[in-house]
Amino acid sequence: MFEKLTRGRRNRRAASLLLALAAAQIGAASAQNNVAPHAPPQAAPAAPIAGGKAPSSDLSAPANAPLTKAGFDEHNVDESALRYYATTGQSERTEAELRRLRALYPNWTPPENIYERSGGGVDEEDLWDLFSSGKLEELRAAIDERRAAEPGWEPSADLRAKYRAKAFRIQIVALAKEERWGDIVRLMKTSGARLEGIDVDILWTIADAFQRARQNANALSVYKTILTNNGDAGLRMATIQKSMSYLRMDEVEQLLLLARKDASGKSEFAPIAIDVARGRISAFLHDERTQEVEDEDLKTYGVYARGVNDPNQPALLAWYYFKLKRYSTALDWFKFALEHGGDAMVAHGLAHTLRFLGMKREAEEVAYAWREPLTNNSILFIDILETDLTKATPPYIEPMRLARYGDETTRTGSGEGAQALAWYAYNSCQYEVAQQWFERAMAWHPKGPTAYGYALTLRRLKKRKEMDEVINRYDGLFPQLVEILFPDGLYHPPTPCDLNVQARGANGQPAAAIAQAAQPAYGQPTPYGQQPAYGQPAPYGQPAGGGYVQDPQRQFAWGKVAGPGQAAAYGGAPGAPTSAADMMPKIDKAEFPIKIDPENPQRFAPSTQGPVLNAQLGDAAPAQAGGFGREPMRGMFPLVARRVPGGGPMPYERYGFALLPGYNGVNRPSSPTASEQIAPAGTLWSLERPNTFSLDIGRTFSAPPTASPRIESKAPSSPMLDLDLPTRPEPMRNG
Amino acid sequence: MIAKMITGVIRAAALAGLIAAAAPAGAQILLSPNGRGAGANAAAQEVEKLDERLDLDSGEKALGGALRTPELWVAYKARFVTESGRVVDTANGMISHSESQGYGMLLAVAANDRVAFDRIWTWTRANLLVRDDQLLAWRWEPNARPAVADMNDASDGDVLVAWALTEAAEYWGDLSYRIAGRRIAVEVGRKLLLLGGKQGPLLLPAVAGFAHEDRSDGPILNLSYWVFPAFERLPKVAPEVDWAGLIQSGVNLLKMAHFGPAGLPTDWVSAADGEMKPASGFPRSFSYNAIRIPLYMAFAGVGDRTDYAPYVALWSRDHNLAAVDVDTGASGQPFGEGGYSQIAALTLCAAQKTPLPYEFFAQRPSDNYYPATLQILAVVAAQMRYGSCSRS
Repeated sequence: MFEKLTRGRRNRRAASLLLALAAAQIGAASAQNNVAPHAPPQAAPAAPIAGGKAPSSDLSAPANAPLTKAGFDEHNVDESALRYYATTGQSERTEAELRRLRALYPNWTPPENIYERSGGGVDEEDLWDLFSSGKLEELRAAIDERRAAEPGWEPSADLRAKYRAKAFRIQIVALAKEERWGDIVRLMKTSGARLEGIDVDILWTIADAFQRARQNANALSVYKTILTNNGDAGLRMATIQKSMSYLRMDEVEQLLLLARKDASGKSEFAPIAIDVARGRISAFLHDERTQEVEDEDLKTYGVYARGVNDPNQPALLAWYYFKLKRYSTALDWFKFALEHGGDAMVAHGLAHTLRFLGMKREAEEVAYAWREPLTNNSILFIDILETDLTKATPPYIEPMRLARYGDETTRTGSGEGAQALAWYAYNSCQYEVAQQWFERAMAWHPKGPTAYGYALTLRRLKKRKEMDEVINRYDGLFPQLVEILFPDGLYHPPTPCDLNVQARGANGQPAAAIAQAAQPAYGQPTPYGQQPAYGQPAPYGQPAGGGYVQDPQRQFAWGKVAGPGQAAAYGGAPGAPTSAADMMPKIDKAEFPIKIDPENPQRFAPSTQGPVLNAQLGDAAPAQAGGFGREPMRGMFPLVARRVPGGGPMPYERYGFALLPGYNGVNRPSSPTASEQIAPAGTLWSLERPNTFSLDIGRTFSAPPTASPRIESKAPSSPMLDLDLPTRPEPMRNG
Repeated sequence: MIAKMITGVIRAAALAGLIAAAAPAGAQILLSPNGRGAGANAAAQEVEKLDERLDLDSGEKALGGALRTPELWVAYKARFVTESGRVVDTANGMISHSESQGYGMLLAVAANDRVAFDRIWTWTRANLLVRDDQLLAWRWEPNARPAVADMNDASDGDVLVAWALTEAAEYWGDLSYRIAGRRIAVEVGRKLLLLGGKQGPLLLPAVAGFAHEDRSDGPILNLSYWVFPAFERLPKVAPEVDWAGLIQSGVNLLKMAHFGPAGLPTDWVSAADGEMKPASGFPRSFSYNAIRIPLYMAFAGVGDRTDYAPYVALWSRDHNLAAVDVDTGASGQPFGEGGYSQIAALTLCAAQKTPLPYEFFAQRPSDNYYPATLQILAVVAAQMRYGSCSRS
């Protein structure tokens, strides 16, 4: 579409100005010798073509062709360089060449039409016809024929140049059509081709190729060349628009600086101000730009976003303000976008914005309403409420909300949702339902706090055997869990449920009486209100030599902190005569340690998958043809736990018991443990602040049910002097 | 081979022509005394570079149901997958790991065996998802107390399981798979990618033990943890993570990790100070881990000719895989089990269209879990992308 080089018949009239190519070449060479410093480029002698029959794109005579020496006069002055400079707009060089030729040929008169393309060689009409009809192969043949017939004849420099340009163009177009972008890049590099003089549409293609080869700087140079050398307003605008779809915005900004301005200072690119603003906002969102977008752009874009019938435009602004932590403004734009047809991702942004504005309840509703189309919203819904559900003393939550949370949990098989509901039930004294949720949580994500809560629940339910199985299964892995059997000897305040029991027992009052004066209950049959105003510490958890303090109102209880050198009351400290073994609680050998299949048998299918898959797997059924294999290693379960890299010290170690070395020989507890692992610098994780969650996966920490102040009784882990080898060497692959 | 040479000549010719064609803008190309242009020499060099292009199909492909030789899976399941869904590493003390579970899930979805997939996945989450985050404890030993041997994760296992869940979600349309896959994938992006480096994101092998904070020559990387086909599919569940950047960084790092005379990567490399070296404290060999690199490249259609060249050179004459000492280039004892060789067959097929041998699809009842897994993965890759290498 920009075939500027295409030649018509008008060129033929210039043929008389030209001499035989051979003469011209020699003439030019001689001239060069005479006028050294600014030698003009030759009209490109070409490299010989390997293989002979390849698509040739040059019309030069073979290198060893005999050259005929011809005389020089004003009629065979080589004007090709002059015309080249003139037509490519290099005025300084044009002038220099004019001076040079005048000096060489005093009688020579410069042609008037040097800014037009010069014509072909002597009598090249037929050849130009072939050229203009695009028959390059035939043209090539005709030239060879004529060379043979007229020794010394060569096509004109103009025809050669045009031929090469056209062949170049065809090559580029063909490569682009086959998407051989790498070849275009290589071609541009190896040919040493200059960008000046190449058609704009081909330059666009070249820029495209550079960009696809991730050579943005080269692509940028191409666009710059166009804007520097081309005055056509339409082409300039199209060039900017193309650059915006291919380059980073900071690169486009360099091109925008090349804008021409009118008398009033208005940029020629003002008509695409919206696109430019969008580009800048997007660049900020993609971290390609650190400074905030100028108010002018935001204003322009805001007006546009409100007027256009496309929710993605206001949503872009919403995410921009969200990233700036300007949540109030972000809220307005998210709402606007959602009201105008925004999708689930807009709702996701809205929910996060609400959360950051402290409107968690609203955030929960939005995430729930949009849970179906986008999994992010389902995950966010689970994670938002998880925080409240796992509080040691959870707030009142309406039964309806708990029910739908449970539905979503089972629908998606969410371990996070299951443990949250389980803790909520546990902390509100609803142990049977707590057990059901903990079983699911153990099937879907059996992390340490979950196993702990599960065992506590089983103990409350007096399911001692089941509790022992869980504890023995995770012996060596989850210290907090094993601590149920090896209490730390410290005072832990009673939970509200303990007090509930205590109150019932002591006063004969139903628990409801306590709740009466308090907040509404949890929304499940057994209501429970705030912290009771008083209460004796429950027998459970009472320390052997412990003590506690209470505030004057006797509303809370705290563990008694040992002063320096006064740790005797808690045993084991320097100066305390009592040996560790004396402090050892009595452990029923039927309880611990017992042999246990270490495989976790809990399985539950999400509700969307129909009935429970194979809950509580029994022994393996015989393998059938096409069926599963048999477990090769069942039985012989050990009684002594081994170290697990990433695990902390086990509670019984303080009584002198030891663990076997870990699989890799490690024989000390890890510090930090896997849960305490410090984020490696360079990860997104390392940028997070405590108590914030930037992604929708949320927190993974579950509050233990008795989150009272604790005194650490374990000896501080000794600093690791030598680094352990990484605990993930490759598995042995012994053939 | 002859055809390839002819192609080369034509390309050289075309390039020489192109060089001339580009000249109108004023380039000068000098003629050398023998009449060959300097440009032609440059062109000859370019030919080699041009030949780097492989034009592999790197388009995203769904894995679900892609295994067209289900008998391989039937035999695999009977030998390595227990009733409860544990995938057993038979050569390695009958243990399981996140990698074996992930491979098992992938093969189950490729074989359209949803019952097996559910068994393996539910076992995996019930036994390996014991960390406080969304990553998997990497090692599990039967009859040990406790069975989980290490609370650390292995990022290849995390990635394999997330990828399998993604494929299962796509293939069977199950929401719970999608959510579980997303949680793992996002956690990989959050905790295991080192961002901001020159080569693109780096995938730590695990949360603990390999970072610069842990070792002076850290970060230590394992390039076979770049599971390229997974990175092509994980945007389906976690589009906010830069998986495309991870593919690119893997390609970049592999170009930097051509060690020794054979130009092969070691299993473990140090990427300290932006350079790639064999990691200290690990064998300086291209071995059981790194053999998966060309498998994953071919599985995803990633890489050009130079990227495959060391493996092609290594395996062109001998399909029997063995560890290679990168300092000497010498191969050790062959691994011995036939499944390994199918990686070589797939690599040669991808890089130079070498037809697959007949035994490529053969069942190997004596192969252990690892070579058996690699064989089926190679088969699936060939069936998905390299139909042209199959004998008719």
